[in-house]
Amino acid sequence: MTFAAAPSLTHSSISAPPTQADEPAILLADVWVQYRLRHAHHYNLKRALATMLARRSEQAEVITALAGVTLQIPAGSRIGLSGPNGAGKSTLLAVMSGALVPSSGSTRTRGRVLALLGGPNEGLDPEQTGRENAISLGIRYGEGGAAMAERVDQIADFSGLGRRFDHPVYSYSTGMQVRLRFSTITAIGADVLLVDEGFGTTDAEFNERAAARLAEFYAASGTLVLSSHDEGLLAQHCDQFLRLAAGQVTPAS
Amino acid sequence: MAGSQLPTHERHRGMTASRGVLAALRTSSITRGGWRRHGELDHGAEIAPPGGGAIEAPPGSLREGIADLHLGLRQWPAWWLLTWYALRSQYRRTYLGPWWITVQQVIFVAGLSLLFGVLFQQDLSTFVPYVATGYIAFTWMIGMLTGGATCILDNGAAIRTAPGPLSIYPLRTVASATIQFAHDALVIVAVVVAFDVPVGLSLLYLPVACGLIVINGLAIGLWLGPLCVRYRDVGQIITSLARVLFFFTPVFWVATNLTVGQLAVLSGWNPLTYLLQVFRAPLLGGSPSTFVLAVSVGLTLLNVILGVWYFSRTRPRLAYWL
Repeated sequence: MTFAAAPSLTHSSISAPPTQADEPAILLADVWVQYRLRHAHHYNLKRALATMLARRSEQAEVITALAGVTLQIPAGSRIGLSGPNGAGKSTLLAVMSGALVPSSGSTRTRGRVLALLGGPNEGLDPEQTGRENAISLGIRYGEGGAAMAERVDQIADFSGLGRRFDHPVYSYSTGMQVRLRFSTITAIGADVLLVDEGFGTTDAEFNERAAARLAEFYAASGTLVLSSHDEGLLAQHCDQFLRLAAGQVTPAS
Repeated sequence: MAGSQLPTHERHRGMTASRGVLAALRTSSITRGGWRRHGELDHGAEIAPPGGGAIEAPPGSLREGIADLHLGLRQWPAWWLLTWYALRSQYRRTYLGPWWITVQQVIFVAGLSLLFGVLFQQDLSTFVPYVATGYIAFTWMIGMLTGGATCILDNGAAIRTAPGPLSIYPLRTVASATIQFAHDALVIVAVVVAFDVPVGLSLLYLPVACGLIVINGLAIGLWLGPLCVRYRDVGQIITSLARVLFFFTPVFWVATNLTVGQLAVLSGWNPLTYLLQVFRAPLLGGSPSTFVLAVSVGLTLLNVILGVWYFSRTRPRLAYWL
Protein backbone atom coordinates (compact mmCIF):
# COMPACT_ATOMS: atom_id res chain seq x y z
CA MET A 1 0.00 0.00 0.00
CA THR A 2 1.41 3.36 -0.88
CA PHE A 3 1.57 6.10 1.62
CA ALA A 4 0.56 9.50 0.44
CA ALA A 5 1.42 12.34 2.74
CA ALA A 6 -1.33 14.89 2.97
CA PRO A 7 -0.71 17.45 0.27
CA SER A 8 1.34 20.23 1.75
CA LEU A 9 -1.13 22.50 0.05
CA THR A 10 -3.82 21.97 2.55
CA HIS A 11 -2.00 20.85 5.62
CA SER A 12 0.82 22.17 7.64
CA SER A 13 2.96 19.18 6.96
CA ILE A 14 5.44 17.52 9.20
CA SER A 15 8.37 15.58 7.94
CA ALA A 16 7.12 12.22 6.76
CA PRO A 17 8.36 9.18 8.65
CA PRO A 18 9.33 6.03 6.77
CA THR A 19 6.43 4.46 4.94
CA GLN A 20 4.52 1.96 6.98
CA ALA A 21 1.82 -0.37 5.90
CA ASP A 22 -0.16 0.25 9.08
CA GLU A 23 0.04 4.01 8.80
CA PRO A 24 -3.22 5.39 10.20
CA ALA A 25 -5.76 6.89 7.84
CA ILE A 26 -5.92 10.10 9.84
CA LEU A 27 -3.27 11.43 12.15
CA LEU A 28 -3.70 14.57 14.20
CA ALA A 29 -0.97 15.71 16.55
CA ASP A 30 -1.73 18.38 19.13
CA VAL A 31 -4.05 20.25 16.80
CA TRP A 32 -5.17 23.66 17.94
CA VAL A 33 -7.62 25.79 16.07
CA GLN A 34 -8.02 29.29 17.37
CA TYR A 35 -9.53 32.21 15.60
CA ARG A 36 -10.36 35.79 16.32
CA LEU A 37 -13.94 36.77 16.69
CA ARG A 38 -13.79 39.81 14.46
CA HIS A 39 -16.37 42.49 14.75
CA ALA A 40 -17.06 44.95 11.99
CA HIS A 41 -14.33 47.31 13.11
CA HIS A 42 -11.69 44.62 12.80
CA TYR A 43 -12.42 44.44 9.10
CA ASN A 44 -12.05 48.18 8.80
CA LEU A 45 -9.07 49.25 6.77
CA LYS A 46 -8.95 52.79 8.12
CA ARG A 47 -8.93 51.55 11.66
CA ALA A 48 -6.26 48.98 10.87
CA LEU A 49 -4.05 51.69 9.41
CA ALA A 50 -4.64 53.97 12.39
CA THR A 51 -3.80 51.14 14.74
CA MET A 52 -0.67 50.43 12.77
CA LEU A 53 0.46 54.05 12.80
CA ALA A 54 -0.18 54.39 16.51
CA ARG A 55 1.75 51.15 17.03
CA ARG A 56 -1.06 49.90 19.14
CA SER A 57 -2.41 46.46 18.81
CA GLU A 58 -6.10 45.98 18.85
CA GLN A 59 -6.99 42.41 19.43
CA ALA A 60 -10.24 40.66 18.86
CA GLU A 61 -11.51 38.06 21.26
CA VAL A 62 -9.96 34.67 20.67
CA ILE A 63 -12.13 31.60 20.29
CA THR A 64 -10.58 28.20 20.82
CA ALA A 65 -12.37 25.69 18.63
CA LEU A 66 -9.93 22.82 19.07
CA ALA A 67 -7.60 22.66 22.02
CA GLY A 68 -4.81 20.20 21.45
CA VAL A 69 -6.49 17.27 19.77
CA THR A 70 -4.27 14.26 19.21
CA LEU A 71 -5.83 11.38 17.33
CA GLN A 72 -4.76 8.33 15.43
CA ILE A 73 -7.49 6.81 13.35
CA PRO A 74 -6.45 3.49 11.80
CA ALA A 75 -7.68 2.70 8.31
CA GLY A 76 -11.01 0.92 8.35
CA SER A 77 -12.21 2.50 11.60
CA ARG A 78 -15.74 3.70 12.02
CA ILE A 79 -15.63 6.66 14.33
CA GLY A 80 -18.71 8.22 15.84
CA LEU A 81 -18.19 11.82 16.82
CA SER A 82 -20.50 13.40 19.36
CA GLY A 83 -20.53 16.39 21.63
CA PRO A 84 -22.61 19.45 22.46
CA ASN A 85 -23.13 22.35 20.06
CA GLY A 86 -20.00 24.37 19.66
CA ALA A 87 -17.77 21.60 20.93
CA GLY A 88 -15.68 21.70 17.76
CA LYS A 89 -17.08 18.71 15.81
CA SER A 90 -17.42 20.53 12.51
CA THR A 91 -14.05 22.22 12.97
CA LEU A 92 -12.45 18.86 13.61
CA LEU A 93 -13.96 17.44 10.43
CA ALA A 94 -12.84 20.51 8.46
CA VAL A 95 -9.28 20.01 9.74
CA MET A 96 -9.41 16.30 8.85
CA SER A 97 -10.65 17.12 5.36
CA GLY A 98 -7.78 19.51 4.79
CA ALA A 99 -9.99 22.54 4.20
CA LEU A 100 -8.85 24.19 7.42
CA VAL A 101 -5.18 24.57 8.27
CA PRO A 102 -4.85 24.33 12.06
CA SER A 103 -3.35 27.17 14.09
CA SER A 104 -0.73 24.79 15.37
CA GLY A 105 -0.12 21.08 15.39
CA SER A 106 0.09 18.77 12.44
CA THR A 107 -2.26 16.65 10.41
CA ARG A 108 -1.79 13.87 7.97
CA THR A 109 -4.23 11.79 6.03
CA ARG A 110 -3.75 8.80 3.86
CA GLY A 111 -5.69 8.16 0.68
CA ARG A 112 -8.54 10.11 -0.74
CA VAL A 113 -10.63 12.02 1.75
CA LEU A 114 -14.15 13.08 0.85
CA ALA A 115 -16.16 15.25 3.16
CA LEU A 116 -19.85 15.88 3.35
CA LEU A 117 -19.78 19.03 5.46
CA GLY A 118 -21.74 22.23 5.78
CA GLY A 119 -25.42 22.86 5.29
CA PRO A 120 -27.78 20.80 3.13
CA ASN A 121 -27.31 22.97 0.03
CA GLU A 122 -23.57 23.39 0.41
CA GLY A 123 -21.91 23.44 -2.98
CA LEU A 124 -25.18 23.28 -4.92
CA ASP A 125 -26.08 25.87 -7.54
CA PRO A 126 -29.82 26.49 -7.23
CA GLU A 127 -30.18 27.40 -10.91
CA GLN A 128 -28.69 24.16 -12.14
CA THR A 129 -30.54 20.87 -12.32
CA GLY A 130 -29.80 18.00 -9.97
CA ARG A 131 -27.95 16.25 -12.79
CA GLU A 132 -25.71 19.24 -13.52
CA ASN A 133 -25.07 19.78 -9.83
CA ALA A 134 -24.08 16.13 -9.40
CA ILE A 135 -21.52 16.50 -12.20
CA SER A 136 -20.24 19.84 -10.85
CA LEU A 137 -19.88 18.44 -7.34
CA GLY A 138 -17.99 15.43 -8.61
CA ILE A 139 -15.63 17.63 -10.59
CA ARG A 140 -15.04 19.78 -7.55
CA TYR A 141 -14.11 16.66 -5.62
CA GLY A 142 -11.52 15.84 -8.24
CA GLU A 143 -13.38 13.53 -10.61
CA GLY A 144 -13.16 13.96 -14.36
CA GLY A 145 -16.14 15.39 -16.23
CA ALA A 146 -16.45 12.27 -18.40
CA ALA A 147 -16.26 9.93 -15.40
CA MET A 148 -19.05 11.88 -13.70
CA ALA A 149 -21.21 11.89 -16.83
CA GLU A 150 -20.91 8.11 -16.89
CA ARG A 151 -21.84 7.80 -13.26
CA VAL A 152 -24.65 10.31 -13.17
CA ASP A 153 -27.45 7.87 -14.04
CA GLN A 154 -26.43 5.65 -11.18
CA ILE A 155 -26.49 8.70 -8.89
CA ALA A 156 -29.96 9.56 -10.16
CA ASP A 157 -31.17 6.04 -9.38
CA PHE A 158 -29.75 6.02 -5.92
CA SER A 159 -31.05 9.46 -5.02
CA GLY A 160 -34.57 8.29 -5.80
CA LEU A 161 -35.33 11.77 -7.11
CA GLY A 162 -36.75 10.38 -10.35
CA ARG A 163 -38.03 13.04 -12.70
CA ARG A 164 -37.03 15.75 -10.24
CA PHE A 165 -33.36 14.93 -10.85
CA ASP A 166 -33.59 17.01 -14.02
CA HIS A 167 -35.33 19.91 -12.33
CA PRO A 168 -33.44 22.95 -11.04
CA VAL A 169 -32.29 22.62 -7.45
CA TYR A 170 -34.13 25.76 -6.32
CA SER A 171 -37.30 23.68 -6.55
CA TYR A 172 -35.89 21.06 -4.15
CA SER A 173 -36.83 20.62 -0.52
CA THR A 174 -34.06 20.38 2.07
CA GLY A 175 -34.38 16.62 2.18
CA MET A 176 -34.05 16.38 -1.59
CA GLN A 177 -30.89 18.48 -1.49
CA VAL A 178 -29.42 16.16 1.12
CA ARG A 179 -30.33 13.18 -1.05
CA LEU A 180 -28.57 14.72 -4.03
CA ARG A 181 -25.39 15.53 -2.13
CA PHE A 182 -25.20 12.23 -0.30
CA SER A 183 -25.82 10.21 -3.47
CA THR A 184 -23.17 12.12 -5.39
CA ILE A 185 -20.46 12.05 -2.76
CA THR A 186 -20.87 8.39 -1.97
CA ALA A 187 -20.79 7.52 -5.66
CA ILE A 188 -17.19 8.75 -5.80
CA GLY A 189 -14.67 6.31 -4.48
CA ALA A 190 -12.98 7.43 -1.26
CA ASP A 191 -10.67 5.97 1.35
CA VAL A 192 -11.90 8.25 4.10
CA LEU A 193 -15.40 9.61 4.34
CA LEU A 194 -16.25 12.46 6.69
CA VAL A 195 -19.93 13.05 7.26
CA ASP A 196 -21.41 15.89 9.30
CA GLU A 197 -25.00 15.16 10.40
CA GLY A 198 -27.29 15.34 7.42
CA PHE A 199 -29.77 12.54 7.88
CA GLY A 200 -32.21 14.51 9.94
CA THR A 201 -34.19 15.79 6.99
CA THR A 202 -34.49 12.76 4.76
CA ASP A 203 -37.26 10.20 5.03
CA ALA A 204 -37.02 6.70 6.46
CA GLU A 205 -36.92 5.03 3.06
CA PHE A 206 -33.86 7.00 1.95
CA ASN A 207 -32.19 6.73 5.33
CA GLU A 208 -32.34 2.97 5.02
CA ARG A 209 -30.64 3.02 1.64
CA ALA A 210 -28.11 5.59 2.84
CA ALA A 211 -27.30 3.35 5.79
CA ALA A 212 -26.83 0.42 3.43
CA ARG A 213 -24.47 2.45 1.29
CA LEU A 214 -22.43 3.53 4.29
CA ALA A 215 -22.25 -0.10 5.38
CA GLU A 216 -21.01 -1.03 1.90
CA PHE A 217 -18.36 1.65 2.18
CA TYR A 218 -16.90 0.51 5.45
CA ALA A 219 -17.27 -3.15 4.58
CA ALA A 220 -14.74 -2.37 1.84
CA SER A 221 -12.41 -1.15 4.61
CA GLY A 222 -13.15 2.52 4.12
CA THR A 223 -12.60 4.81 7.08
CA LEU A 224 -15.69 6.62 8.28
CA VAL A 225 -15.98 9.57 10.63
CA LEU A 226 -19.58 10.38 11.32
CA SER A 227 -20.62 13.35 13.40
CA SER A 228 -24.10 13.44 14.80
CA HIS A 229 -26.26 14.17 17.80
CA ASP A 230 -28.24 11.04 17.02
CA GLU A 231 -26.89 8.36 19.34
CA GLY A 232 -28.83 5.68 17.50
CA LEU A 233 -27.27 6.61 14.18
CA LEU A 234 -23.78 6.58 15.66
CA ALA A 235 -24.38 3.22 17.33
CA GLN A 236 -25.64 1.80 14.05
CA HIS A 237 -22.57 2.72 12.00
CA CYS A 238 -19.67 3.18 14.34
CA ASP A 239 -17.53 0.91 16.43
CA GLN A 240 -15.51 3.58 18.18
CA PHE A 241 -16.75 6.77 19.72
CA LEU A 242 -15.18 10.10 20.31
CA ARG A 243 -16.74 12.75 22.41
CA LEU A 244 -15.65 16.33 22.00
CA ALA A 245 -16.24 18.91 24.68
CA ALA A 246 -14.85 22.42 24.57
CA GLY A 247 -12.49 21.51 21.77
CA GLN A 248 -10.96 18.56 23.54
CA VAL A 249 -11.45 14.85 23.21
CA THR A 250 -13.04 13.43 26.31
CA PRO A 251 -13.57 9.78 27.11
CA ALA A 252 -16.69 8.54 25.37
CA SER A 253 -19.51 7.66 27.68
CA MET B 1 4.56 13.69 18.12
CA ALA B 2 4.69 16.86 20.14
CA GLY B 3 8.32 17.28 19.22
CA SER B 4 7.49 17.57 15.55
CA GLN B 5 5.27 20.55 16.18
CA LEU B 6 6.53 23.87 14.96
CA PRO B 7 7.80 25.78 17.97
CA THR B 8 5.25 28.54 18.11
CA HIS B 9 7.46 30.98 19.96
CA GLU B 10 9.73 30.89 16.93
CA ARG B 11 6.87 32.15 14.86
CA HIS B 12 6.30 34.99 17.30
CA ARG B 13 9.82 36.14 17.15
CA GLY B 14 9.62 36.16 13.39
CA MET B 15 6.55 38.30 13.52
CA THR B 16 7.92 40.97 15.79
CA ALA B 17 11.13 41.02 13.79
CA SER B 18 9.34 41.67 10.53
CA ARG B 19 7.56 44.68 11.95
CA GLY B 20 6.82 47.28 9.38
CA VAL B 21 4.13 48.07 6.90
CA LEU B 22 3.79 44.51 5.69
CA ALA B 23 3.65 43.01 9.15
CA ALA B 24 1.14 45.62 10.19
CA LEU B 25 -1.04 44.96 7.17
CA ARG B 26 -2.15 41.85 8.92
CA THR B 27 -3.41 43.19 12.17
CA SER B 28 -3.78 39.59 13.15
CA SER B 29 -0.15 39.65 14.20
CA ILE B 30 0.27 38.28 17.65
CA THR B 31 1.57 40.58 20.29
CA ARG B 32 4.47 39.54 22.42
CA GLY B 33 3.28 37.38 25.20
CA GLY B 34 0.96 35.65 22.80
CA TRP B 35 -2.09 34.62 24.68
CA ARG B 36 -4.47 37.46 25.34
CA ARG B 37 -7.78 36.04 26.30
CA HIS B 38 -9.75 33.18 25.06
CA GLY B 39 -13.43 32.81 24.54
CA GLU B 40 -15.40 30.75 26.93
CA LEU B 41 -16.52 27.66 25.19
CA ASP B 42 -19.71 25.79 25.63
CA HIS B 43 -20.74 25.20 29.20
CA GLY B 44 -18.03 27.50 30.39
CA ALA B 45 -15.24 24.97 30.20
CA GLU B 46 -11.93 26.62 30.92
CA ILE B 47 -9.02 25.75 28.74
CA ALA B 48 -5.38 26.20 29.51
CA PRO B 49 -3.67 28.47 27.01
CA PRO B 50 -1.50 26.61 24.52
CA GLY B 51 2.26 26.83 24.55
CA GLY B 52 2.64 29.79 22.25
CA GLY B 53 -0.94 30.83 21.68
CA ALA B 54 -0.93 30.47 17.90
CA ILE B 55 -4.06 31.99 16.49
CA GLU B 56 -5.40 31.35 13.02
CA ALA B 57 -3.01 29.57 10.72
CA PRO B 58 0.63 30.54 10.28
CA PRO B 59 1.25 32.51 7.08
CA GLY B 60 1.73 30.32 4.03
CA SER B 61 5.03 29.95 2.26
CA LEU B 62 5.73 31.11 -1.25
CA ARG B 63 6.50 27.54 -2.26
CA GLU B 64 3.06 26.33 -1.15
CA GLY B 65 1.39 29.28 -2.83
CA ILE B 66 3.07 28.53 -6.12
CA ALA B 67 2.21 24.84 -5.73
CA ASP B 68 -1.42 25.86 -5.20
CA LEU B 69 -1.31 27.98 -8.35
CA HIS B 70 0.32 25.17 -10.28
CA LEU B 71 -2.30 22.65 -9.15
CA GLY B 72 -5.06 25.15 -9.89
CA LEU B 73 -3.81 25.67 -13.43
CA ARG B 74 -3.53 21.94 -13.95
CA GLN B 75 -7.16 21.52 -12.95
CA TRP B 76 -8.26 23.77 -15.79
CA PRO B 77 -10.82 21.37 -17.30
CA ALA B 78 -12.61 21.36 -13.94
CA TRP B 79 -12.88 25.09 -13.36
CA TRP B 80 -13.45 25.81 -17.01
CA LEU B 81 -16.48 23.54 -17.00
CA LEU B 82 -17.70 24.94 -13.66
CA THR B 83 -17.36 28.47 -15.00
CA TRP B 84 -19.28 27.50 -18.08
CA TYR B 85 -22.05 25.93 -15.98
CA ALA B 86 -22.20 28.96 -13.71
CA LEU B 87 -22.40 31.38 -16.62
CA ARG B 88 -25.11 29.29 -18.22
CA SER B 89 -27.12 29.11 -15.02
CA GLN B 90 -26.74 32.86 -14.54
CA TYR B 91 -28.67 33.36 -17.77
CA ARG B 92 -30.76 30.23 -17.54
CA ARG B 93 -34.12 31.93 -17.50
CA THR B 94 -33.30 34.39 -20.27
CA TYR B 95 -33.74 33.92 -23.98
CA LEU B 96 -30.41 35.30 -25.22
CA GLY B 97 -28.18 33.97 -22.45
CA PRO B 98 -24.69 35.50 -22.28
CA TRP B 99 -25.44 37.27 -25.56
CA TRP B 100 -27.45 39.68 -23.46
CA ILE B 101 -24.24 41.39 -22.38
CA THR B 102 -23.18 41.59 -26.02
CA VAL B 103 -26.45 43.27 -26.87
CA GLN B 104 -25.89 45.72 -24.02
CA GLN B 105 -22.43 46.48 -25.40
CA VAL B 106 -23.83 47.19 -28.85
CA ILE B 107 -26.49 49.48 -27.43
CA PHE B 108 -23.98 51.30 -25.26
CA VAL B 109 -21.45 51.79 -28.04
CA ALA B 110 -24.17 52.95 -30.43
CA GLY B 111 -25.57 55.36 -27.85
CA LEU B 112 -22.20 56.81 -26.96
CA SER B 113 -21.22 57.17 -30.61
CA LEU B 114 -24.45 58.97 -31.38
CA LEU B 115 -24.08 61.28 -28.39
CA PHE B 116 -20.49 62.27 -29.05
CA GLY B 117 -20.93 62.25 -32.80
CA VAL B 118 -23.58 64.94 -32.47
CA LEU B 119 -22.08 66.80 -29.51
CA PHE B 120 -18.54 67.08 -30.78
CA GLN B 121 -19.02 66.40 -34.49
CA GLN B 122 -16.83 63.33 -34.28
CA ASP B 123 -16.10 61.44 -37.47
CA LEU B 124 -18.10 58.27 -36.87
CA SER B 125 -15.99 56.11 -39.17
CA THR B 126 -13.08 56.43 -36.74
CA PHE B 127 -15.00 57.16 -33.56
CA VAL B 128 -17.22 54.06 -33.56
CA PRO B 129 -14.28 51.59 -33.87
CA TYR B 130 -12.45 53.61 -31.22
CA VAL B 131 -15.30 53.40 -28.72
CA ALA B 132 -16.22 49.79 -29.57
CA THR B 133 -12.71 48.41 -29.08
CA GLY B 134 -12.14 50.57 -26.01
CA TYR B 135 -15.40 49.81 -24.28
CA ILE B 136 -15.33 46.07 -24.86
CA ALA B 137 -11.74 45.73 -23.62
CA PHE B 138 -12.57 47.98 -20.67
CA THR B 139 -15.57 45.80 -19.75
CA TRP B 140 -13.34 42.73 -19.85
CA MET B 141 -10.75 44.29 -17.55
CA ILE B 142 -13.29 45.75 -15.14
CA GLY B 143 -15.03 42.37 -15.01
CA MET B 144 -11.80 40.81 -13.79
CA LEU B 145 -11.17 43.65 -11.35
CA THR B 146 -14.57 43.53 -9.65
CA GLY B 147 -14.76 39.75 -9.97
CA GLY B 148 -11.30 39.42 -8.49
CA ALA B 149 -12.37 41.52 -5.52
CA THR B 150 -15.20 39.14 -4.66
CA CYS B 151 -13.83 35.80 -5.87
CA ILE B 152 -12.79 34.58 -2.43
CA LEU B 153 -15.66 36.15 -0.46
CA ASP B 154 -18.28 34.67 -2.79
CA ASN B 155 -16.93 31.17 -2.31
CA GLY B 156 -16.58 31.33 1.45
CA ALA B 157 -18.70 28.29 2.18
CA ALA B 158 -16.81 26.12 -0.31
CA ILE B 159 -13.43 27.30 0.95
CA ARG B 160 -14.31 26.49 4.55
CA THR B 161 -15.61 23.00 3.82
CA ALA B 162 -13.92 21.63 0.71
CA PRO B 163 -10.17 21.16 0.44
CA GLY B 164 -8.32 21.92 -2.77
CA PRO B 165 -6.32 24.67 -4.44
CA LEU B 166 -7.71 28.13 -3.73
CA SER B 167 -6.25 29.57 -6.92
CA ILE B 168 -9.19 28.11 -8.83
CA TYR B 169 -11.35 31.00 -7.60
CA PRO B 170 -9.30 33.82 -9.21
CA LEU B 171 -8.87 31.52 -12.21
CA ARG B 172 -12.61 31.08 -12.52
CA THR B 173 -13.09 34.85 -12.42
CA VAL B 174 -10.66 35.26 -15.29
CA ALA B 175 -12.34 32.45 -17.21
CA SER B 176 -15.79 33.91 -16.67
CA ALA B 177 -14.81 37.42 -17.83
CA THR B 178 -12.91 35.98 -20.77
CA ILE B 179 -15.81 33.82 -21.95
CA GLN B 180 -17.96 36.93 -21.81
CA PHE B 181 -15.31 38.86 -23.73
CA ALA B 182 -15.23 36.14 -26.39
CA HIS B 183 -18.92 36.82 -27.01
CA ASP B 184 -18.36 40.58 -27.13
CA ALA B 185 -15.33 40.25 -29.42
CA LEU B 186 -17.73 39.56 -32.27
CA VAL B 187 -18.84 43.19 -31.99
CA ILE B 188 -15.25 44.29 -32.50
CA VAL B 189 -14.91 42.06 -35.55
CA ALA B 190 -18.17 43.42 -36.95
CA VAL B 191 -17.15 47.04 -36.38
CA VAL B 192 -13.67 46.58 -37.84
CA VAL B 193 -15.17 45.00 -40.95
CA ALA B 194 -18.11 47.39 -41.26
CA PHE B 195 -15.98 50.53 -40.91
CA ASP B 196 -13.23 49.12 -43.08
CA VAL B 197 -10.46 49.76 -40.54
CA PRO B 198 -7.06 49.28 -42.24
CA VAL B 199 -5.72 46.55 -39.94
CA GLY B 200 -2.39 45.00 -40.87
CA LEU B 201 0.51 43.03 -39.53
CA SER B 202 0.38 44.97 -36.29
CA LEU B 203 -2.56 42.69 -35.41
CA LEU B 204 0.15 40.40 -34.09
CA TYR B 205 0.18 42.67 -31.04
CA LEU B 206 -3.35 41.59 -30.25
CA PRO B 207 -2.51 38.18 -28.72
CA VAL B 208 0.20 39.93 -26.68
CA ALA B 209 -2.34 42.42 -25.39
CA CYS B 210 -4.85 39.68 -24.56
CA GLY B 211 -2.13 37.72 -22.78
CA LEU B 212 -1.15 40.73 -20.68
CA ILE B 213 -4.77 41.43 -19.80
CA VAL B 214 -5.42 37.83 -18.74
CA ILE B 215 -2.23 37.65 -16.65
CA ASN B 216 -3.11 40.92 -14.93
CA GLY B 217 -6.65 39.70 -14.34
CA LEU B 218 -5.35 36.61 -12.57
CA ALA B 219 -2.73 38.54 -10.60
CA ILE B 220 -5.25 41.07 -9.37
CA GLY B 221 -7.59 38.31 -8.22
CA LEU B 222 -4.72 36.69 -6.35
CA TRP B 223 -4.07 39.72 -4.16
CA LEU B 224 -7.32 41.64 -4.27
CA GLY B 225 -9.48 38.59 -3.50
CA PRO B 226 -7.77 37.85 -0.15
CA LEU B 227 -7.40 41.56 0.67
CA CYS B 228 -11.15 42.05 0.30
CA VAL B 229 -11.72 39.21 2.75
CA ARG B 230 -9.42 40.71 5.35
CA TYR B 231 -10.59 44.30 4.92
CA ARG B 232 -14.20 44.46 3.95
CA ASP B 233 -14.00 48.16 3.06
CA VAL B 234 -11.70 47.41 0.14
CA GLY B 235 -14.53 45.79 -1.80
CA GLN B 236 -16.60 48.96 -1.44
CA ILE B 237 -13.67 51.09 -2.56
CA ILE B 238 -13.25 48.90 -5.64
CA THR B 239 -16.93 49.19 -6.50
CA SER B 240 -16.82 52.97 -6.46
CA LEU B 241 -13.48 53.05 -8.21
CA ALA B 242 -14.66 50.75 -10.99
CA ARG B 243 -17.50 53.13 -11.76
CA VAL B 244 -15.33 56.21 -11.96
CA LEU B 245 -12.46 54.48 -13.79
CA PHE B 246 -14.57 54.56 -16.92
CA PHE B 247 -13.98 58.30 -17.15
CA PHE B 248 -10.29 58.13 -16.31
CA THR B 249 -9.47 55.59 -18.98
CA PRO B 250 -9.39 56.75 -22.61
CA VAL B 251 -12.39 54.62 -23.55
CA PHE B 252 -14.49 57.23 -25.30
CA TRP B 253 -12.35 60.36 -25.30
CA VAL B 254 -9.31 61.04 -27.41
CA ALA B 255 -6.42 62.89 -25.85
CA THR B 256 -5.70 65.74 -28.20
CA ASN B 257 -4.46 69.18 -27.22
CA LEU B 258 -3.57 67.97 -23.75
CA THR B 259 -0.26 68.59 -22.04
CA VAL B 260 1.69 65.68 -20.63
CA GLY B 261 0.83 66.91 -17.16
CA GLN B 262 -2.90 67.03 -17.86
CA LEU B 263 -2.74 63.59 -19.40
CA ALA B 264 -0.93 62.21 -16.38
CA VAL B 265 -3.62 63.54 -14.06
CA LEU B 266 -6.39 62.32 -16.29
CA SER B 267 -5.29 58.80 -17.15
CA GLY B 268 -1.54 58.39 -16.83
CA TRP B 269 -1.81 57.01 -13.30
CA ASN B 270 -4.31 54.40 -14.39
CA PRO B 271 -2.79 51.01 -15.33
CA LEU B 272 -5.84 50.21 -17.46
CA THR B 273 -4.84 53.05 -19.81
CA TYR B 274 -1.71 51.26 -20.92
CA LEU B 275 -3.25 47.82 -21.31
CA LEU B 276 -6.11 49.36 -23.23
CA GLN B 277 -3.73 51.10 -25.62
CA VAL B 278 -1.82 47.89 -26.30
CA PHE B 279 -5.10 46.17 -27.05
CA ARG B 280 -6.65 48.91 -29.13
CA ALA B 281 -3.78 50.15 -31.30
CA PRO B 282 -3.52 47.07 -33.55
CA LEU B 283 -7.29 46.98 -34.02
CA LEU B 284 -7.26 50.54 -35.30
CA GLY B 285 -4.48 49.86 -37.75
CA GLY B 286 -1.56 51.11 -35.65
CA SER B 287 0.99 49.74 -33.21
CA PRO B 288 1.36 50.47 -29.51
CA SER B 289 4.29 52.72 -28.68
CA THR B 290 7.38 51.24 -27.04
CA PHE B 291 6.67 53.34 -23.98
CA VAL B 292 3.14 51.96 -23.60
CA LEU B 293 4.39 48.42 -24.14
CA ALA B 294 7.17 48.82 -21.61
CA VAL B 295 4.85 50.27 -18.96
CA SER B 296 2.35 47.48 -19.56
CA VAL B 297 4.94 44.76 -19.17
CA GLY B 298 6.43 46.44 -16.08
CA LEU B 299 3.02 46.81 -14.42
CA THR B 300 2.21 43.20 -15.22
CA LEU B 301 5.40 42.03 -13.54
CA LEU B 302 4.70 44.08 -10.41
CA ASN B 303 1.13 42.86 -10.33
CA VAL B 304 2.20 39.21 -10.64
CA ILE B 305 4.79 39.55 -7.90
CA LEU B 306 2.29 41.22 -5.59
CA GLY B 307 -0.38 38.65 -6.43
CA VAL B 308 1.76 35.57 -5.89
CA TRP B 309 3.25 36.96 -2.69
CA TYR B 310 0.02 38.06 -1.02
CA PHE B 311 -1.91 34.99 -2.13
CA SER B 312 0.78 32.63 -0.83
CA ARG B 313 0.93 34.44 2.45
CA THR B 314 -2.79 34.62 3.17
CA ARG B 315 -3.88 31.29 1.66
CA PRO B 316 -4.00 29.19 4.87
CA ARG B 317 -5.74 32.02 6.75
CA LEU B 318 -8.57 32.70 4.36
CA ALA B 319 -10.76 30.01 5.92
CA TYR B 320 -10.41 31.84 9.25
CA TRP B 321 -11.21 35.26 7.84
CA LEU B 322 -14.27 34.28 5.88
